[in-house]
Amino acid sequence: MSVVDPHNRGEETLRTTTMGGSAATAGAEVDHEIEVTSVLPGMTEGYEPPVRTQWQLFRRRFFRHKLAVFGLFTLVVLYAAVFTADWWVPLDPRAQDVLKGTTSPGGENWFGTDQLGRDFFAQVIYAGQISLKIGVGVALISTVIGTIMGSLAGFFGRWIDLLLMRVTDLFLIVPGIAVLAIALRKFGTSDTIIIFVLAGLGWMQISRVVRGQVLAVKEKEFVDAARAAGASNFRIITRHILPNCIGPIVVNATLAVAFAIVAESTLSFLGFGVQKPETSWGNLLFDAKGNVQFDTHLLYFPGLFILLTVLCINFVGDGLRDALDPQSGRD
Amino acid sequence: MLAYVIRRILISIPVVIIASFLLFAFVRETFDPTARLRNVRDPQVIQNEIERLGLDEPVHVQYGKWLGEFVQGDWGESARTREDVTDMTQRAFWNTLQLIFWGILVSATIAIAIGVYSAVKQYSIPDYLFTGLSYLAIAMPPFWFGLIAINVFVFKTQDWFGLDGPPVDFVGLHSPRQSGYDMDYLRHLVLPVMTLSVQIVGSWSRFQRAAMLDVMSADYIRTARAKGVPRRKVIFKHGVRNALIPLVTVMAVDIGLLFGGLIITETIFSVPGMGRMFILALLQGDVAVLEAWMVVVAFFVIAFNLLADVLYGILDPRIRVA
Amino acid sequence: MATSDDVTVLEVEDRSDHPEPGAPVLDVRDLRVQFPTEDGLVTAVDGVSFVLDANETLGIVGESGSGKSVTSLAILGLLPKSAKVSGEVRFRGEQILGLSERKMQPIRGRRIAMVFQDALASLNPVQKVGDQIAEAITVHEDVPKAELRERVVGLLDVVGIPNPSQRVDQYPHEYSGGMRQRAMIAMSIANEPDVLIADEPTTALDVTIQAQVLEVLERIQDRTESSIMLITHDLGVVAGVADRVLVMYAGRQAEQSDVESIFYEPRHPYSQGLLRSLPRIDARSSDRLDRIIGQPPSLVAVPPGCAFHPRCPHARVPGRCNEERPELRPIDGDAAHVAACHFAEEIRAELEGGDDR
Repeated sequence: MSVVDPHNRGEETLRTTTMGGSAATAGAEVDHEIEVTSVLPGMTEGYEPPVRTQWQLFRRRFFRHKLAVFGLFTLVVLYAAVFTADWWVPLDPRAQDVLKGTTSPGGENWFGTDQLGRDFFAQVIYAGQISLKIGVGVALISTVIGTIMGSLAGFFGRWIDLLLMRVTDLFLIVPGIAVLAIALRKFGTSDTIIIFVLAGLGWMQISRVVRGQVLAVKEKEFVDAARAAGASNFRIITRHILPNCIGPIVVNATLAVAFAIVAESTLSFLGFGVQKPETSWGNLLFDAKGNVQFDTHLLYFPGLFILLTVLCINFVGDGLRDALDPQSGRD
Repeated sequence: MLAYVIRRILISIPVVIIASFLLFAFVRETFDPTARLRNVRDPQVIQNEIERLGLDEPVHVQYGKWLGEFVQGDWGESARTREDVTDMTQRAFWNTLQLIFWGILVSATIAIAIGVYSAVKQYSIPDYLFTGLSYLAIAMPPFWFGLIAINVFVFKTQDWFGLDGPPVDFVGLHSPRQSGYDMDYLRHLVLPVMTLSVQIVGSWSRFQRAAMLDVMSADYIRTARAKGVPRRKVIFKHGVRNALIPLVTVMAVDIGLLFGGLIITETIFSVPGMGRMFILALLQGDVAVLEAWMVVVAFFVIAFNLLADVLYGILDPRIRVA
Repeated sequence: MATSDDVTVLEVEDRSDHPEPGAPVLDVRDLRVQFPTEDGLVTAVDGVSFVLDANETLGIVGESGSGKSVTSLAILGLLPKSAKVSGEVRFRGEQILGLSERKMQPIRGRRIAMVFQDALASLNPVQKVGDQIAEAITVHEDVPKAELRERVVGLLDVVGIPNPSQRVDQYPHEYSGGMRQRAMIAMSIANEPDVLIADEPTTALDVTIQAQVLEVLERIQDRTESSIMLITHDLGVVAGVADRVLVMYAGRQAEQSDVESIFYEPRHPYSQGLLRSLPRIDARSSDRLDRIIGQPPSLVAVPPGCAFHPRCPHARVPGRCNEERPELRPIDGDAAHVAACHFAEEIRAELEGGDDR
């Protein structure tokens, strides 16, 4: 084990650690016998494996994951389209035409209209603003809280660790959706509140991951080396430990977006989430519940948008996992 | 083994007590048990009700009283229907238990079959197909899947095949005035169990595939092959048997999620179970029901985890000794 | 230790179905194994040839990454499907490389058996040791239950497991490291194979147990007249047990000869290096062991010419050593002693001329 912190030196020194990582993937499937051993500098000059920096490796692995690239592209387009709706969506989502009533997709109403004759395409796009905002908001907040709590628990241990683990245990035995529903009944249902309530429950997943990483990384030699050099706890955590946990944090933050979008839509569908006149995708499906037999466009479109978003986020998450943390891949 | 189970039960008691206290306080904080007297003008009546329910006391005293009665089987009465919560919960729990039973049975069977098949035929066309489907299943909001299932399997199927009636039902577990475990029951079970299982099958089959791949690259599989054991036997006797061990852990963790799924499933399909009881109680601020619900669910989840631990010990002899 | 002479398993079976009676038991020619990886095709075994005669023990020596284990897995057809294998593996004259799974199954465990390196990982953790040994028998022949158990207990007894009739019902984790390795050996000799491949059978064990396990192997060979391929990184293990030795480096053969020649007249600088790194009884404790400087090459980028030249004290670089790959050739006209070094004769003269430390 090298005492070189793989994130804290010049990129040239990275090759031994990074090569070991890529070789392990191949070696695991083949046979431990043919590990690709790193080469001592000076001994075999000119016969070294190709040198790649951390960032090059990351990019290469991520972009090789075709679905992840597709997911990232789709998400960018989706977010851009939804948040620029004012400029390009032709119809007003609130303009009613009661006489027209529900119509199937066609003509100027690309997704048809709802019972009040409102353009459903415009409604779905505008509802996306709330759904996507909640997704990102929850992911950001829960990642920040989770990272702080997780690194404190992992680094200092003792009571803060104990407390964290017990709180997480509590939430394992009570269904999260029930706690969320009660909390929303208590605190209200504006989108800001929904974001904080979901983040208040969502940070535990990330904190567990960070805690585990911190526990693993803090035993490494380069942390001892930093401590021996007189670095403060704060510096050790922020400069040495967290950069080495960045992979799992990023992956989980990505997945937290999907968690939040599904949780919000489920709560709204049950009637505890976003309330009229605000709309989210889950909220539109709440309305569609009564029309399962006919008017299927009201049912399909909002759900398809949730499905597409979550699918793409999961693809990106997979791609990031493969690129940042090749050993932990599930398959 | 028995000592281990007993120790685990003893450890989980304080967890349930703390959890139920927090939930009790939270629910009391959130809802007003006197809400149904909202239209009563006389403050004296409300005051009497507050005293009757002991609401003027500190919350831990209230909790102590509630716990004492709860342990003795007196779970209070529903503010909504004035029904005995014990009876209500019993009935609801039985319906939910049926969904859980079928849900886990169906999910585990399908997930194990898909996972093993995909691992053994890694990178084959069916493997890619199952992988694709599992991605969809995991990303799909279960409630949306339930609604679509109703649309497709009840209405569309009837149209397409010109049937006299819908091939499956989507309200409750039995038709009115029926209660047997017969064709009628099965027709009612199909959609809720599907809705409950789809996401679980998606994630368990991925997990089972990974576990199976892991096991199949283990040294002892190579040993079995070196002994001349035929491939099929290597896969089932040595492979599947070992790959089931990690799945048990995942099943135990996911049981909490299953209750979340039950809330959705029971709401969509109007199954009078725990999930629906929760939603109705929450909408109407029915405190006694919510509190009972929380404790029962927490207890069930812990019991299920215990069961998983026991199963784990049976599957893995290394745990038995430790 | 009970060495029950009446254990039926150990009666030598008549094997009259040999396709070519004169052929060696195992004849490996120009074996080559490649794996596709992220960084391109990696050649793990590069043109290895050797012959294994009846009742002979061949030691295969090399550092990790030299391709010894891959060679043995290739012989049994146990490599992952992604591996590209070429060359010949003749078992009693019959080519078995590339046979279908179905045709390999009767050979595996019955004619050619294998003892793996890490016995704990190589035994199924959820199956009783006895059942795992029994399975090795029942996949090849039908044996009544009672007799089967008796045979398994007998096998455990032969390899020196105490209380075999109780141990037979225990799980691998209840065995000690040495016992697990013996159980592995019991499993591999259950059908009295013609060839026993032992892949680092003693690496994980401490020295006294090592000696016991090696003794068990020898004793079994005396009984069954099996041929043994002993794979190890430890020349010391080979010295006591093997008849002939094959030294491998970076997937290639460096040297092959009978065991005495390797120890007294090593011809390849790598073999010489290995030998010098062995602790010796006659050395003073203050003497430092020589070691081969550097590390074995990455198989992704094997040095050109002689793979050993970057670490070789005698290398002439630039020159033939880094330009031309040395062929395996007889040294001093001894056809049984071959080495792959351009300058084997000169180095030898140098060593004999200079102060031989």
